[in-house]
Amino acid sequence: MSAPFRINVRLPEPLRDGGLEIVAIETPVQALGELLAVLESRLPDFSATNDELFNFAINGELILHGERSVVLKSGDEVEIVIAFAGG
Amino acid sequence: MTIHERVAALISRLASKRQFPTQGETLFVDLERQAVRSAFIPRSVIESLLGGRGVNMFLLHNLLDESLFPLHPEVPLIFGTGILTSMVPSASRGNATSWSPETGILMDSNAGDYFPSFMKLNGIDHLVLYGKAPQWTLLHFAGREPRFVDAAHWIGLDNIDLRASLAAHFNGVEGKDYGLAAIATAGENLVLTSGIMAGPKAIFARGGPGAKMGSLNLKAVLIQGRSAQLTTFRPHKMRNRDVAQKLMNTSVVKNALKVRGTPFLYKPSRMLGAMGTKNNQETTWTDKLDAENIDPYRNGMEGCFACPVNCRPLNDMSGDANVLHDKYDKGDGPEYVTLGKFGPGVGITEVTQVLRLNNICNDLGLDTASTGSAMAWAMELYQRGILSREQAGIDLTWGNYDAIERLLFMIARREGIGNAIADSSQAVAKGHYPAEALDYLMAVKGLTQSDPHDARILKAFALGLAVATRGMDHLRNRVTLEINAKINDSPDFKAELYGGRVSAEPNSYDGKEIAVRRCENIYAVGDSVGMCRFTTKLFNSPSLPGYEEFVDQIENVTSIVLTRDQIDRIGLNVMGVERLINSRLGVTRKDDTLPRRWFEEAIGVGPYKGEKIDRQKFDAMLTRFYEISELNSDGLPKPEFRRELDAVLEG
Ligand code: SF4
Repeated sequence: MSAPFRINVRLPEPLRDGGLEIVAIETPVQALGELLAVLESRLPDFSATNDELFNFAINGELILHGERSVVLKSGDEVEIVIAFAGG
Repeated sequence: MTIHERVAALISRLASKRQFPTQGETLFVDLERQAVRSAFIPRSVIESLLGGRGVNMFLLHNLLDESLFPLHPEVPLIFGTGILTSMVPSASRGNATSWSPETGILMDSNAGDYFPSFMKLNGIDHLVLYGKAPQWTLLHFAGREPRFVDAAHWIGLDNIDLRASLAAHFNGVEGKDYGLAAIATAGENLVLTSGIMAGPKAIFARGGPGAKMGSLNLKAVLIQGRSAQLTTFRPHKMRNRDVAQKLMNTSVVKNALKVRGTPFLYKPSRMLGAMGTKNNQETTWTDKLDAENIDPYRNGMEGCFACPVNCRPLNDMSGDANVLHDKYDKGDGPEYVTLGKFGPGVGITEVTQVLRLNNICNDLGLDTASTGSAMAWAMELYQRGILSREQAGIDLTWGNYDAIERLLFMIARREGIGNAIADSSQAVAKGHYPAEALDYLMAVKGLTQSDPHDARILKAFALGLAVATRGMDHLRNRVTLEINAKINDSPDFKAELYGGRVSAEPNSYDGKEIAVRRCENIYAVGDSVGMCRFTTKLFNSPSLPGYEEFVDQIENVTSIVLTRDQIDRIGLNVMGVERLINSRLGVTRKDDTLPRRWFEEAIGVGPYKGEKIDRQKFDAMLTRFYEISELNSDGLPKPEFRRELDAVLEG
């Protein structure tokens, strides 16, 4: 039997409701766009703040374009990174 | 012509009367003769260059004698406030302009805190300083007439003690009662990486402003009180409320800038494999320096005059038993630039060490960008054996914290190898290093890179660094939003933002010139109105205040009516004048380039492993940039543009 699907999503501070830093997503998804839809239903603040504020890193590597179509597999680590760029 | 003749000739062409109610004077202060003359910038110049950086360029163009040298006392140091400085939220800024002793080209540096606002609040729009004072001098304004105060008492004081001493002497609180621009020992010793401190951390930084001020025997300018009546043409406070609301409703301001300040950028750069490490030999570094790891030491946030953002993190390590407890266990900062330059740049991994180096630089009056870069260059030379242990006199191994801390004091005093590093990019020309050292210098037009972001991946960043008029600096034109996937994935929105199609792919060369042109224009306008870069549209967000707000408030404050296209054209004008000045100082197309390393060595990690700059594609992008910027093939204004600029500069 194969291991159940699971992607851990590390949240940035504005989304850490009640100190929750990592959300485990067990709904099978194939691309980041699908994962975002799941996150929107799970995290009330996410859809409100998912404007230009957030970027995504998969397994520690930042995605800079074609975000929604990035392919995901079980076991990937997704991190939501504040897309702050000017300093 | 002497500077006195140049000043007299220029004043004869300026206005003798105020051109709009909030206009301040331009004061010409001869430090040698202790004489002051004044005039007003004509309305036609204001309509073409606004104020701040733009008008500083008008003044420099007219007063510069390129047969001299940057630290010659007849080369003026010019402070300028933006046309909206102190009157609009986040418009707290001003510029210091001259001929750079660090680079040999244009010097122009922007700072906030309180000095620019106190200039404006005392009816001074521009302060042109020249001549070497007979002894160390503090220029004290309480009203428009300066007093030339003997500064012998303050010589040798660094920023912390100097500011405390001046607060006691002038019986006031900086920011509330007065604004202060001053040099610390690095400036006194003509260190080319020294800045002019506009606050505990705020600094007119790039190009060696501290050395320029030191060369005039000027320790400080202190402007006390609020003597000017700033009566605007029309009420402007309602619109200010919109500006403040827009600022505070912007996600990145609310969730990042206001909370932790600029160190947020460390993490995205690191994850992209674009964090300049060990003089850009590597491009990623430890997560121990991520902004959240500074949290335990962040004891508050500070801000500039009347800015609701308060983006500046303070630090306090006094509760940490593992650090040394002295005057450097607390301070102001760090910014992302300092975190990068004194973390990965020199091989440091500990937050507390970066904080301490930050606090020391602020005290000694050192620009962390130039100092960190010059130090990293020396460390690579040491690593390669180009600089021997004997020559260095100190172990310059990456991450050797004790040596790095000691080196900062040696730089400020120009001692030992510190003397070579104090000469920054000029170290080869001054005979400290052999010519082969230049192969490892990460600089453009003599200016080392301001931010630690390695731009081999993001081609718009790379083009910006190559064409920036003050040298390799991100604050002049960086298309910061290239790092934002949502914007990259919205082609129509992106095209609207920049006024043309710009490739979604960060590492593509296509259309990047359009985005750089748009950013360079709006940032030059921002510097000329006095708006902070962090809160100007396109730098951190597409939702921040931009031309729409600027034109409204310019009209309300000054009565000058501008369209959106006209104000955008002003940004182009500022760039055009800067290129004319640089051309007089020997800059040509070949200087609009990048360090050798970025063309020849590829990024070794991350999602863009293998990426570097392709010379041919870069050159084609540069040609397209010149074309849309109305520049000829040598990067100078084309004839019609040139005629327009000449009419403003010499009319
Ligand atoms: S955003 Fe920060 S740096 Fe800019 S004016 Fe405000 S407090 Fe100063």
